[in-house]
Amino acid sequence: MSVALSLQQRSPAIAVSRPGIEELFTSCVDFVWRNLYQLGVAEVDLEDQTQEVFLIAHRRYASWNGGHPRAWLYAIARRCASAYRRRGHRRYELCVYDVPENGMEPDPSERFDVNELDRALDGLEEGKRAVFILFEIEELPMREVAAAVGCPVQTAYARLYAARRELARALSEE
Amino acid sequence: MKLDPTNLHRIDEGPPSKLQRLIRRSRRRRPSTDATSRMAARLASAGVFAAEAPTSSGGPALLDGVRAGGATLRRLAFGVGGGALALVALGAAWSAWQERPADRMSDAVVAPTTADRTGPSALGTTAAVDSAAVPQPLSTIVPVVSVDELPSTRPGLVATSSTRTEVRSSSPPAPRRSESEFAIIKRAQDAVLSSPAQALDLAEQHARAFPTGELVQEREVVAVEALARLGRKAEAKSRANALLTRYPRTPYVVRLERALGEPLSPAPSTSGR
Repeated sequence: MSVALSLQQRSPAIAVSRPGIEELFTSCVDFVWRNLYQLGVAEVDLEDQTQEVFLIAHRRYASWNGGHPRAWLYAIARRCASAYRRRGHRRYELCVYDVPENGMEPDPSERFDVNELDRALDGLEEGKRAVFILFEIEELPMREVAAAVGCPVQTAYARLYAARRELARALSEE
Repeated sequence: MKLDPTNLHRIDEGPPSKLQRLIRRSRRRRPSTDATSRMAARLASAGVFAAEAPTSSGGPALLDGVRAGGATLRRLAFGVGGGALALVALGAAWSAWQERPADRMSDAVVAPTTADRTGPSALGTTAAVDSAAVPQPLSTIVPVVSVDELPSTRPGLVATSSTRTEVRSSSPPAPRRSESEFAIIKRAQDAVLSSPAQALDLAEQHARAFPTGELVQEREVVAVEALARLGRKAEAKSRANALLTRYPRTPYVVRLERALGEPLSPAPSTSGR
């Protein structure tokens, strides 16, 4: 934190132009939540992991150049989800009296639809899935999508088209 | 730019299709207001929202629609209905705080023992905590587990006299009957922001009811944060160090350091990375 503060003091212009973590949280918490879920975080852990993403964002704030905030958060979320999956085998269960309310779809038909899309997305290769989700569901500009997944824009387009084809085929077969 | 054609339509903008319906429904997936409030409150208590502080008044906005302002978040953080609860809790905690001696809470876990042992420890304390569910006068004596039996304290900090102590009960947040370990910690975590004294009380209750529980680390983190927010930095630091000594690989180092505002000495610092 001290590093972050000292950097900001040296470059106030950059600091002023960037949204703060609080603003990022307000605007992007849903985005982070959805993407963590798509990246394999269990529903019961979404709250913790979402929080973790913003904690890491806070720690790395000084090194962020202020561009493509959602792409930046996505990159953090991807690493968080990856670490989360790696330590999955060490998790233990907690007995609770109330099932944690998690904000997922309360409407069964809606949940069915979303699950259907999830299953279809699961059949996609990771790169295609990420591009499809960020472009079609999250409505990021393709340039930002490419930044988020770390590939050239042209490659992102190719992945999008391939994902669309494969999804249409998968859904028509169900 | 040629690589970014403007005529590329999203499925959502095209003709109706099954995929389009699924995509639209998928967009509605989001955390509940309660979940968002909890996260906001915890992040705020961890100092995440305060530190970078780019007020950005008049600066060029790089993020469209991002600048919703702190007021929105604070409304979220205390939620619908949560505000009333917080006020009640704050009032209760304040009155309790005024009633107790200043150093009463400092030894919530590492309390020096003074009296003779008069009964069983672990089981007896659970019963004692349960009995406190009924409001009792301030002078009620509640047996407390000795620090020697607690797993989370550093041996060097613990007085090694008898195994039993007596403290005056003033618990405003009376534990619910058979409240789970998880529920107590959850309440304590939720109270850290709005009412650190109450959070500290709950941590103490947890220490009594679940001396060897699974959430010992979480309890101690809450206690450190609460002490820090109450301005009792020295106690917070010694308690944080005790936790670190007991659990050198605790994942809460950064959080503890953030609460204390300084690095912790016993273990290599990992903050700022």
